Amino acid sequence: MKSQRKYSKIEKKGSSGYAYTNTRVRVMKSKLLKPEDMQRFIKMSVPEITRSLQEMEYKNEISDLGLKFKGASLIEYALNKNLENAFSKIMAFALKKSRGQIMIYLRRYDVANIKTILRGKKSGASNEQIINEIVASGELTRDFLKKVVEESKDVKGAIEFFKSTIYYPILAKHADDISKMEDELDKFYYKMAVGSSEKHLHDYISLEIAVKNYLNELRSKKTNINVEKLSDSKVRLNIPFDKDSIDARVYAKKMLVTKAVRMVNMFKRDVRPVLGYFVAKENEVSNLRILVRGKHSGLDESIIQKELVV
Amino acid sequence: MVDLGSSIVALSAGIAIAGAALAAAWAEKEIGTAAIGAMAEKEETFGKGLILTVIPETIVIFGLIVAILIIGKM
Repeated sequence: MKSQRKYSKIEKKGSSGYAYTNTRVRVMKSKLLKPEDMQRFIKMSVPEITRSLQEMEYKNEISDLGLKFKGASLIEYALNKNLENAFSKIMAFALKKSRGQIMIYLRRYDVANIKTILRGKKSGASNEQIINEIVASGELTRDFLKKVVEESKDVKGAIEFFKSTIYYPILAKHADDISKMEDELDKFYYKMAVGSSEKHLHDYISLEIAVKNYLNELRSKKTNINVEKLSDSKVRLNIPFDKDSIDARVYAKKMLVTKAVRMVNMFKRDVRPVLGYFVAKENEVSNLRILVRGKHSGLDESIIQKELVV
Repeated sequence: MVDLGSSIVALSAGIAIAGAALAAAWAEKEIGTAAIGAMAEKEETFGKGLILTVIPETIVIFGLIVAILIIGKM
């Protein structure tokens, strides 16, 4: 860390720092699970998956949480913690000039954490459960979020803790309707992200918004419940709505992951490889979560296979 | 007293090696930082990183040869 701090002081003078950051991120990407690992996991039981993950990048998190939890919960909490650790590590060595852009991306975790806490409080989940669901990679620190969870008794009490954050007006306005509040938080995040991001992040977020709009529209068509658009996006997706909904959902998500993987492999002096890694890592965690939850609830292998975005 | 022609030859030899050295330094800086980035995550890339980092040194050898050839013309 000491050497990194020294390094960050001199980074303003040149752009060779991108060579360091982006290569390190590319190596981290190479350690992510391969499609064949996923295929192997599909055939395993939850304890077997836990043992395999323990031999991989998830070793520390599974060991830390192994005493308190077991089964699918252990893996799920370990995945959250691992995601947080991976993102914190990147923030520690990322260039100062790209940290702003990275933080715009990571603020989605602030929104997600607020939603997790409020949903948890509303459903009466235990404090420990809520804390383990948190991925404190955004601006709101783990200590702060932990304090909110432990010291608030209900949804309204929790909202009061967020008074100093930019999300408070939305939280206060929709305190009685959490679903509406969640939609508004998402819209607020994407509006803010589109407004303040530079070209590369902007391009990615525009595609992400288009995918989310498509998924919302797909859901509206299937359930006949009107779901509002997240935000306007210039990107047009060419996916027909008559596809099977799982296929269409996976296809749309695959578009994002493909773009991300392409970004990681770009030899450019910008933030793209880091963003690409974030998306690829999130996809890995999401796939493992689908896999473990599917296995835990006894879903057929073919159904789980269909849901995975590989 | 050194004549003007010799001075220009010596200067040319100096420029040849200086240009090559600067180019090698720039290339090594890029490759070196990338190699350290890779090594931070995967220690076993040390050997490959080291070899790749010193490859631009060959540019300096070219510069040195050119400089020697120029001086040989004196």
